[in-house]
Amino acid sequence: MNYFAQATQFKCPSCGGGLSLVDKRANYITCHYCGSVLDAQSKTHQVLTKIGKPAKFPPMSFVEIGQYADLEGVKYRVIGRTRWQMQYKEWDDEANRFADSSWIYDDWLLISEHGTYYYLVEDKEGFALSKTFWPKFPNLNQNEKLKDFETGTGRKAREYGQASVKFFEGESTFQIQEGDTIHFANYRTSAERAVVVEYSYFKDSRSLQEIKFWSDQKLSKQKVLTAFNQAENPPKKAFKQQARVQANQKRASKLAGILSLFCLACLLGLVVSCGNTDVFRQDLPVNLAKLKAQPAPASEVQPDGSTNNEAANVRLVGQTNTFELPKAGQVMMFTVGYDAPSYFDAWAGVEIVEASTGDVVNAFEYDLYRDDESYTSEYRTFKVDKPGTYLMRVYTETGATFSGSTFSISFNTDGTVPEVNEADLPKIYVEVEKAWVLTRYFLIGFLVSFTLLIIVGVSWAK
Amino acid sequence: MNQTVNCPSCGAALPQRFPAAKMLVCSYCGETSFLNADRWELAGAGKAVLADYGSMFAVGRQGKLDKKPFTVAGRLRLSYHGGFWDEWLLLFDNDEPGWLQEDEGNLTLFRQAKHVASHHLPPYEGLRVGETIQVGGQAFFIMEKNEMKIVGGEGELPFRVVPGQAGAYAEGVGKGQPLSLEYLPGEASFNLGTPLRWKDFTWEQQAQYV
Repeated sequence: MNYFAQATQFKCPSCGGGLSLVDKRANYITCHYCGSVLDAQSKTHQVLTKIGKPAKFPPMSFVEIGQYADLEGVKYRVIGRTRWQMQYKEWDDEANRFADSSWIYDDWLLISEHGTYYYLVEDKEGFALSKTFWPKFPNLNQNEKLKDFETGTGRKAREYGQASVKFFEGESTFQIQEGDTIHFANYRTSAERAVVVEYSYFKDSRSLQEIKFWSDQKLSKQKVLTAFNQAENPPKKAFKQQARVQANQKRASKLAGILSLFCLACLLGLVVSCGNTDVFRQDLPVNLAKLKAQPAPASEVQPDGSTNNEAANVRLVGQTNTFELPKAGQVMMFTVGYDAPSYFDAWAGVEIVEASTGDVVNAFEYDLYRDDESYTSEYRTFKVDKPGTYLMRVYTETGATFSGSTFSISFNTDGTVPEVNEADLPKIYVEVEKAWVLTRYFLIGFLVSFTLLIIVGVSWAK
Repeated sequence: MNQTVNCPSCGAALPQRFPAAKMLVCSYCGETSFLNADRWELAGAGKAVLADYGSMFAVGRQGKLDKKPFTVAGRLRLSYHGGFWDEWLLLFDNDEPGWLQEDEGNLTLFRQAKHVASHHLPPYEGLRVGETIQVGGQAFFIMEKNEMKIVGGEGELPFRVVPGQAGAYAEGVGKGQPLSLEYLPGEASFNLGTPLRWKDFTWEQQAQYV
């Protein structure tokens, strides 16, 4: 039968919380529900005093009172925890001087199946196994100076100062009270091991009460996790749940990071893609006289022999100046609109012409209008195959009306050209811009990733 | 070879493992007897009962330490302001007896340094924690000093145990070895310690935690 198999179960006389007294040598037990310090040896377990509220000092990770652990082949049970706050001086290698620091750590007391103790130190950086040792050259520090415990040579402490009890829960052979203070100094013997001299004074006295020497060996979190996970922990469910929550939080954190980056990239792409770069712009006035002077295009003969007169009213408005399209593969946006003082309903056509050869490399049509509510311009895209100098031929269709004004792109019934004030002449404007055709994808990407980010954030907060 | 003592209370034949024993607790009736001159006399203080708090040691248990067979002959319980500890008397077949101190699970085997006479030991009152003194030509760095009381004893013990009797002790270290000074009325001792682990012990029978 092992040592902690005979644990005594009872209820806290203060709050009724279920407690388990494992170490039969313990004189005190502090209720980890309400913080009452109880007499462990009496049958009634009367309340002696109170220490801080446990809810204010939760454990730092998965370790908690009552859990079992397998360490170095021995089964242990967690029976106590002391929360310490350190105020100390720490050597700063970069600044080459000591700096004031503060730190918090938990000192877990575990009892083995053989009745021996194990001190597990936990802080936000991880765990360490703390064992007493017997130095060949015992000494106390004089501020930062002390002697090497093994060789007796002079040494500089890595840290020195004091630590005070902030909270205690569980079992103890002696009464631990808030404010109990120890002094200490330490140095490292390796990256994984530090040795500490710890001493306390009698209350209200400069007389030393007790000195201890500790060897603190770092333990990897994985090793501690394994030690606690392999044991048959009654609160294993809670432990597993906490481990699962931690794992989920880690995954959520990673996912949130990836989504944030993706969201930011989409937003950046969206901003960039919305900012098209102007290459060329020109206004071409619609001069009715010039239009009238042009012969009507011949009817097109269809493959079935019929004729198509749709193009009969199309007239050339003008030819733009030349512009450069220097990069093959670049997608260009060709935007066309009427700049007219009144309502209209009109058609426009554009031919993109290679200036040196006169070859038409592409052609677009635009249906444009303006009414009470909207005013349109349209764009077409074209990917440059051959870099070079280009111009545009811009066409309109006679018969289009500009209602509410005196203008119409049409001729008098007698074939003459109506007289129109120059100020009322509409213009066709053409614009050429470099296009970012991925705008919609960036937008979709941004919206999806942003939504997912919110979902992940809400789940994480829960 | 063990001698046999008849309990002055119930007459039971008790094996006396420790020739220097001056106290004996009957394992049948629980009464304590003291050796007075060459006669065992009933102490008359009633049954001696020490509460068990769980230990791998028990009076009469046999085991080995570093392959050396031993028998647990007796137990002394001592208390101080912060709690108590047990000292188990281990009788080795081929070695000096030793006191195994079991304090909060820490195990240390102490043996008296017989080359240092009791009257040559420093007085308790003059000891200061944190100071290094010389005891029997050996440096003794004092880590703790406290007054103590004898709670009780059981089994065979080399002196007459009087529950409530006051004493004092100091513990320290010298050249990496645990050291202790114990002060009881009319007697003081200097002890050299060896830190042990539970793994250092093997038992004739599976350890029972009582």
